[in-house]
Amino acid sequence: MRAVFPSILLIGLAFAAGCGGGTSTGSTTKTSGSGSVSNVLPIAVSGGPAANQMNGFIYQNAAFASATICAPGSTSNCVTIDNLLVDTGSTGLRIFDSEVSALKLPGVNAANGSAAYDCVSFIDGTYLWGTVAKADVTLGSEVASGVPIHVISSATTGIPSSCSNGGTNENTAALLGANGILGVGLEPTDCFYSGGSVCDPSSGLSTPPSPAYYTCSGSTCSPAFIATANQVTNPVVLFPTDNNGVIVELPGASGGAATATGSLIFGIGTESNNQLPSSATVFTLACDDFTTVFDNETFGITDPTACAGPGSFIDSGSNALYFPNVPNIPECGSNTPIGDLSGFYCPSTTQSLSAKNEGGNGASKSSSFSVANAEDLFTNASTASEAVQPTLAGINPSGSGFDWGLPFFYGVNVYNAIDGQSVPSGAPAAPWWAY
Amino acid sequence: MVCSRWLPWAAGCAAFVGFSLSAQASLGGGVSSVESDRVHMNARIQVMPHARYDVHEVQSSGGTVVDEYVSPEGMVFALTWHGPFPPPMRQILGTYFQQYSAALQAQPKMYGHRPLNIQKQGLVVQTGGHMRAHFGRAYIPDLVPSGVAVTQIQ
Repeated sequence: MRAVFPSILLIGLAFAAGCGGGTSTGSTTKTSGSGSVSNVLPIAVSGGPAANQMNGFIYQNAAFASATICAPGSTSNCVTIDNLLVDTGSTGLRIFDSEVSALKLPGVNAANGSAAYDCVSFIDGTYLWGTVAKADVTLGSEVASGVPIHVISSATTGIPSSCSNGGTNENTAALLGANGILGVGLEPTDCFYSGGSVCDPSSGLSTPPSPAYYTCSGSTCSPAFIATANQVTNPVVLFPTDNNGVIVELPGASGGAATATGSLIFGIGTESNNQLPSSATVFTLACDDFTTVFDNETFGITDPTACAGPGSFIDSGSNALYFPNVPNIPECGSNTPIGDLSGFYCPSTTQSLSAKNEGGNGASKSSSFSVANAEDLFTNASTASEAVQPTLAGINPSGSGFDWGLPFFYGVNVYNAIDGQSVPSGAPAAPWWAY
Repeated sequence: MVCSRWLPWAAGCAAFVGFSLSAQASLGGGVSSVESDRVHMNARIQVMPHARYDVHEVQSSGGTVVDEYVSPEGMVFALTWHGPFPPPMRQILGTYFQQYSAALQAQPKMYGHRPLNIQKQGLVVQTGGHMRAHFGRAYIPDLVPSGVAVTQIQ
């Protein structure tokens, strides 16, 4: 349990995005009548679980935090899991079955009454498969009761091909690079978007969407509908207070660093330490994306009804800035001394660039960023061991938008307002980002 | 079947079905399979002509759209997709699925989910986006009709 102490609030400094600058040391005690709950969860850009390396690389530009998971209603039948990836680009808590097997968490059923399985597919073809169970989840000292969480299966057989889809299962910490994922994104469940859930039986679809939720009979698993209340849920929305969003706060980084520590703050405008400053710009979204104007090209949703177009987004779960190669930056080769780096940029000298983000509400703000030679970063013995790499950037294919990954967050407090939740007075309806 | 109003892709309330595992138009395959799929799946398919190719758009019930680029000779030379869920890769890549899967396994092993960038002589597969907003494209360089720039495939 963290010691509780008063501190000076420094929220609101340096909102010139990308220029480094202030961060806030969040207060942990609210002393007025509504009680004192710490809404601050420490996060660390640390490289991930000790000794985890893949191909000699540590996990760079990834923020990690701990969660305590208890059997529902219990305060003793609990485990604390550290090194969970803090991911504002996904929704739901995902942990390995080995980490919670002793808790014997109650399973959650799909709409047809059978045990529910969840499949999560990432854009690089990796996936996670497992059951859904309910747990009480404590983050900092905020407690969410009865949260449906994803319990990732250690099994490698019996996974439907619609889930595996030709890709790689990341069902161990060594493969994932983390002990799980803490998805605190813009949506309340992992099958919720555009204001509703297609996985819910009330969606009216003739067949359940896939790959999403399944039920299994013997070794055969089929797509299944599941009530929204049983879908893997953003733990934040189940906090009794401070449940309308999160703020990611990390210190500025002008260059690489071994590690960095910061905070994940729960709630926007609900405590003295999470007020939206007037210097922050709120960006309303289409399909959970906004628009980035970069090098005279516009990357945003062109058809909000179909959610088509090269939408841009902010995502703490991305470990670099990824963008289409409009400025024709040299790309790294596939045959470097350390392997295939063709997904990253390799300019001969570090490039200073800028782009402008725009919200549906007319908000507009420019951000500066640097792009270094990724092969140098990975090859140089000192930079290769630095978890903080603000100048790492890679390629997003044409047809996709600007992915503002964790480098964007260094020195910029990012406010994430969750779809369907309350917003501070005067702010537009969620979801939105502000910084 | 009622389509919920808030599903943006259900505008018009057509009767959608999910992708089936039957014969499916696929990369490198002929356009005739697109027609048989349309009848078999009762799926929503639109054909959008362009100067040097047609785009056959197949929309699944879950909201994912696959655009199949068909050459004047009737061959699917490229695909793009976007939507909340990834498309069924074995179906849409057809005979190129094994090559895709092998290329996935051979991806550089580094932590962090990031865009896919497979560029082989015989197959290009690239992805972007994030959870519930997948984007991707695949094409066979040798089959792209002359005069068509790959930047149009998006």
